[in-house]
This record gives sequence, C-alpha cells and structure tokens, in this order.
Amino acid sequence: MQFNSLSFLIFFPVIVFFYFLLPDRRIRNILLLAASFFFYMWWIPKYVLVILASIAITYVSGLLIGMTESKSRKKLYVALSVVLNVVLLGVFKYFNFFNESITWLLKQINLEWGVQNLSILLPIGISFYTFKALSYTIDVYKGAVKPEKNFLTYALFVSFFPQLITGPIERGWHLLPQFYEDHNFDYQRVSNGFKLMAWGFFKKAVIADKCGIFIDGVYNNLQAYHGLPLILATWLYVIQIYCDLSGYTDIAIGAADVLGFKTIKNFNRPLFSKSIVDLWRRWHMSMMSWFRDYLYIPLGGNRVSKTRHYFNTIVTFTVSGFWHSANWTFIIWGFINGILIIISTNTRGIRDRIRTMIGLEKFPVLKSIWQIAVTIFIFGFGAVLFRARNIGETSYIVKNLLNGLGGQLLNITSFKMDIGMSWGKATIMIISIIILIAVEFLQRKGSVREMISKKPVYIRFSAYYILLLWILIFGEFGSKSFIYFQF
Amino acid sequence: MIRKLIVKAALLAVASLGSIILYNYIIDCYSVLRRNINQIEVTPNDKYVKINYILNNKEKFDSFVFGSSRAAHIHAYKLKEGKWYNMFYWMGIPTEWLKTVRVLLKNNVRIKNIMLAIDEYSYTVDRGPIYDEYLFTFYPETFTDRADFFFKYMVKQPDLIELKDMYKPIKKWGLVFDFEKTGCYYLRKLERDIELNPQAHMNSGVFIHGVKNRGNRVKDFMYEITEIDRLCRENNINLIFVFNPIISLNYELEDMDLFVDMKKRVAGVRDYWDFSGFNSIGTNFYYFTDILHYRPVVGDMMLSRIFNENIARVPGDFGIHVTKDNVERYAGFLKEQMDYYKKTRKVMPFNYK
Repeated sequence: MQFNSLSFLIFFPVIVFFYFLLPDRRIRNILLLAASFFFYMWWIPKYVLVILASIAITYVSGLLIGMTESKSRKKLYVALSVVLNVVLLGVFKYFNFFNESITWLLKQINLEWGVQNLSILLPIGISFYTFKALSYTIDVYKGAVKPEKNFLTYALFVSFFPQLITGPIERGWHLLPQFYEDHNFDYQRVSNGFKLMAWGFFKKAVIADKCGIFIDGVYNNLQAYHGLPLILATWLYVIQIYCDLSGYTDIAIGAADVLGFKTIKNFNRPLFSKSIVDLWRRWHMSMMSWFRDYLYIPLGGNRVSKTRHYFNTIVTFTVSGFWHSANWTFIIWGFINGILIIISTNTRGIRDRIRTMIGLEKFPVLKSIWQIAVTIFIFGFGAVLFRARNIGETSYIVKNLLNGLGGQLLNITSFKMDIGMSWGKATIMIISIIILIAVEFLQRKGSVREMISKKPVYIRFSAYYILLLWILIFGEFGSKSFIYFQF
Repeated sequence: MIRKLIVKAALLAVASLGSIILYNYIIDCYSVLRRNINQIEVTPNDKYVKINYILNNKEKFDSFVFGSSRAAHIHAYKLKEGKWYNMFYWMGIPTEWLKTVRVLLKNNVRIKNIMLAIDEYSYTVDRGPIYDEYLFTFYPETFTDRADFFFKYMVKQPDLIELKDMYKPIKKWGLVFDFEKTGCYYLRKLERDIELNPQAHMNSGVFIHGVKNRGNRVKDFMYEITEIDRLCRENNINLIFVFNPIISLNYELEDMDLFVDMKKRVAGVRDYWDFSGFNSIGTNFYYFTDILHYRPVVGDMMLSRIFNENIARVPGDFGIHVTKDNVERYAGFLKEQMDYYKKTRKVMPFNYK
C-alpha cells in the first residue's frame, strides 16, 4: 500500500481508531502486526513469505546468540543470519545484476554463460527490512540489545508498517522497548503526527511529483535535450528525490507519532548543508548510520592509517550505492561520493584560505549561501548517476550539460522548452519549493509546527487549511510510487 | 481530548474539501453538477448532459443523429419529418452511440429515426493520449454508478489552466451550445468571419497538414453498428447510415485500402449515403471550419441529398447511395476518383451512375 493512495487514507484512520479503542497493549500490538502485514500484502501477497523468512532467520539467530555463552557459536549464528539475509537480498535484488554482468564479461572473451535472468519483481522494501532485521541480530551479538523472546513483538518490530517500505531504518534498542510501553492517547502528539504527515504529503504530492513530470519528460527523451533543460532536470532532481524520500519519512514518522512511537531522525535540513561531509550527516541519516555502525566502524573507521581510512570510506559509500540499486550507475554514484567525502575532508583548510583571500569570510551570510550552493551543485552533479538508467545516459548528460547553453541563455526570452506541464503548474512548483526552503530555513530555530501551535487559533487554523487546500488543489494524485520503493 | 481532535480534524476536512466541492459546483466545467442546460458554456460531458436531458424530456424528441463532433453540423431539426435532436459527442465513437441507444430504449424513449454519421474516426480512433476521464465518463445508470459519478465531479482537483483553456473556444470562435432545442453547437463568430472573407479563412494556416488516426478498432466498430442495426430492426426504428465528408488533406494520410474495404463491410450491414471521397466538397477548404470538421452548410447539403429536399444546391458528386448490390462498382469509382485527384489535384468529372 502506498502512503499517497486513497486506500492508505482509509486504512490509517481505521487503524488509529481501533488502536486507541483497544484497552490492552498486547492486543494493540497484535492489531499493529495484523495491520502491518495487511499493509505489506496489499501489493503482492505472496511476498509476505520473504519478509517472514527474514523475520524468522533473525529472530531465531537472536535467540540462539542469547542462549549461548560461546563466542565462536555467537559468531557462527550472527554470520549465518547475515549470510541468509544477504542470500535473500541476493536472489531477489542482485541475481539479475550479477548474471547480466557475468554474461557481458564472458561475452568480451567470446564465452557464453547461458544462465537466464530470474523473472521476479523486487519485493517492495526488501532492502529496508532486511537491514533492520540484520541490525537487530548484530546488535544482539554485540550485546547492545537483548534478544526479543516474543515472536509477535519481534515480527512487529521488523514489519511495523509506518517504517516498513522505505524506512527510517530503525534499531532494535530504540524501537523494541517501545512495544512494551503503553501509548495512551495524547492530543498534542497525535495532532503533531498528523501535521507532520500533511507536510510529508505536501513534499511528495506537490513538489516531488510535480518536479517528476519535468524530469521524467527530459530523461525519457534525453537525446532531444541539451544545455538548459538538462541542467534544470539535473538539479531539480535533487529537490525531487529529497522531497520524495523525506516526504515519505515525514509521513512514516508522523504516522508512528500518532500511534505513540518515537522514530529516529532521517533528515536534518540537508538542503542547507555547507559541505559534502555535512550533507551526508544530514541526508538519509538512518541509512548512513547503519553503514557507519555495521560496515565503516567494523572496517576500522577513521582510527586506522590514512590510506586505510580512505579505503573504508570508499568501500562504505560504494556499498551504500549498491544497496540502493543493483546497477553500475549506483555503484559508481556511491564510489564518487566516497571520493568526494575524502576530497571534502582534505581540502577544508585550502577552501578556508581561499574564502579568506577573496574576503568571503567577512560576509557570513554570503559565505553560507556560497557553501550551500557549491554543495548542492556537486551533489546534484553526482545525482545524474542516481537518475540515469545506464552509463550511456550518464555520459550523454555530462557531455551535453553545457552544449548550446550560451545560445539558450542569450536568447532566453525566445527559448522554448517542453516542460511536460503548463507554466501555471510550473509556477506552483516553484512557489512550493520556495515555501519548503523557507520552512526549512525557519526550522534552524526549532520545530515550525511548535511555532505555529503558539499562534492564535485563527492563524493556526488558516495555516493548516491553506496547507491542506494546497495539497488537494496542486498535488499530483496519479498514485506515483515513492522513488525509494524500487530500492 | 479525542473529541477535540476529531472536531478539529473534521472542521479542517470539511473546510478544505468543502472549498473544493464549492469550487466544482460553481465552475462545473463539465456541466454535470448544476444541471442547468441553458447555462452550458464550457466543454460539457455531453454523454451525461444529453442523455439526462432526453430522459427528462422523453416526449420532446423522437429522432436522433449520432456521431462525433463532425456530425454536430447536421442540423436535422430543420427537417419536416421527425422531432430531431443531435446526439453528437465530442470525439464520439460507436461504443457510446450503442450504449446510448440501449439506455434510451431501456428508459422507454420512443425512437422513430436514427442517423449514424460514421467516418474513418469511428473505426481508427485511439483516444489514449487525449483521454479525459471527466469528459468521457458515460451516463451512470445504477445508483452506485451515479454516486461514484457525482462524487468524482465534486472532488475533482481544480485546474485553473484547464478552465482558461475551456473558455478559449467561446472567445475565439464564438462557441454557443444549444442542448435544449437542437443538441448542436454553433461557431457564430467563425461562421460570420468565413462568410465575410472566405479566402482569408482558407489561407489562415488551419489547412496545412492533415491528421491521421492511428488506432484500429474495425472489429469493435463492426460489432457496434451491427448491434445498433439489430436494435433498430427489433424496435421498428428507421436507421440511416451516413459516411461523413472529410477534408482531402486527411484522406491523403489515410489507409485508402482500409477506407474502401470499410465501405464494402458497412454495405454488408445496411445501405448508406456516402459523402466521403475526393468530391467537390471534400477538396474545397471553404466547406470546413478546420482540418476535422465540416461546416453547417455541408450538413444542410447532406440532409438535402438524403431527404431529397432543395436538391438543386447539392453538387452532383456529393452523396451517393450505396447498397450491397452496387458497392463493388462504387468501390471501383472511389479508387478512380482518388487516383485522378492524386495525379491532377483536381476533382474528377462526375460520371458515376
């Protein structure tokens, strides 16, 4: 089930209603578990077996790790759990990628591989729930979390519907104890949750999906474009993907909030990042902290030699790219981001000196704008790999970004471009992006929801009314999937 | 506290949804909510508007013209025999005509005459890229269908640009609907302009390229017209088949083998009047408002030919009665006419008997 669907708009209030109607925490958990499986099975019911397999593997391994004192046995169980989950991911997500890569490689030396691709659809959210389940097993192994004995509670932890499809990738130590707490109806919390959900819908339906119309138009017919349209599509994609994923996250966190659950933060105003390092601290934080805790630090993190530290950084980012999608473009995207992190870390001094030299340090606002612009520029450039379907498309975009740009800019008044939507819609999209940036700018001082809640009732009501109306009138409701569903 | 939240949420929902519903009710782009047939100004869902109107005025009309918007200029209401209403639909196809005939018969509308104005659009149309669910949703018959139907129009997402586009024909061409008396629409300003300066109209840039329909729904088309024919025979309805005239620019893009083949197939179902082909009307841009539609003067000539009234004003090569007995010979004539035009860019002297 998609958050931006009519079915979810009916499903969620019904679940909330019965959730608070039920008197006992255990029965509420059973309701949430049933709702979570219903939510997941809405798409392809048989794929519930995949998530059940992941739950069963990690549940049993968690119990076994907890039961034994032997370090080697603990290691064996955690390794088995990791391997089996990776096999699950491998079969459903990576098999065809490896198969095609091997076929291509052997073809270069005139050899035939002959293994057919699997014709299976990627189970929705598999990358997210396997990682969530894996983090639990590893945390049990490390002693960071106690093994969960109640299978239903554990199944609910992995399948908890607000976070099931696109995260945030929760951790056992944070979410599991919450299933043992009573979540009474709290007006402020429930109301805040709904407001956050509305903001998420605004990001997704009004901004991300509107940007998507233009971006899809360009990317689906790349050869027809060069210069300005490619530049616009490339950097608008940063906005689209941010609003798509953070919109989903807001709905997920808001929904969990309504039900009384606290969720870890996933974004921290990344459009205001002042360097690539800063951006990756603010972007998809639950995924980045997963890779930090379970890959980067076990590899040695930064407490190793410089060369090894670089190696760890590059490996971590490359794997994170591969985690996103089984495609060479994503692997390269991850690798490039790793390189960018290293460059960013090592050029901080030089950049500071250049800024001082040109006098930018004296103008802090200007300096911040400059830093943000450069960061988004670099990140957007890398995001070409994220959006392009293959290396050929990426190469075309890079070669043609500046092609004919001068002429287009000189004749900007007569330059015509098919943007795939009316200029009215485009104007709404731009205004919405400005609203988003303004709100995120205000968020540096704290929650905007709290700021609004302190205002008189007529201002509050007008703000919520305008937001709802804005979504209803200007939102795109063709039930477009969230981009991260494909991961 | 729960009550407070529910009240506030309900208030917000009512206020925001209410605003949308109010907007849709006031603007009513598709003319389905206010149901005031005299106030139709912008593109209506004519499937709903017309059927609803006829069902509420069962005695007012007993004869109907069916067709796409091309048939809108067949002003059959001028005929002495029958109380005619033009049931053309925007981009109408025989699927909708058959459904309409069924609805009218089911609701005891007494029908004496039906005229089906068919053309290449009827069997090749592919509405895909221009499909507009609000424009093409058919008249809802059951209670649940009606509930769905009105709900859809009430909560339709407002689109100010669409609104602007819809009013454009009114300003540009002087578009006026008459769904109450005739079922037709009129382009008053455009008609006046053409008569004032025909040459300017013909050179206005409208007639540069033809339009080709790319779909293929021959099988469905044959089933639908056969079914309409069967219903008419069962209910003693006089059925007239007519092939619309099309501008020569469009013929030149068409699959002419299919064009001739369809003439043979339709003749197998029922006799018809054929106004298509490279005749003196189809090759003269003066007789067309645009690349797709012929003018009311052409519709009048078609009626003259069919009902043998004021026949003097109709060119000899415009309108041939085709039966299954003469269709083979007629097909040969059509091919000859076509070849002559393509070679000479002139209309072949009329020699068909």
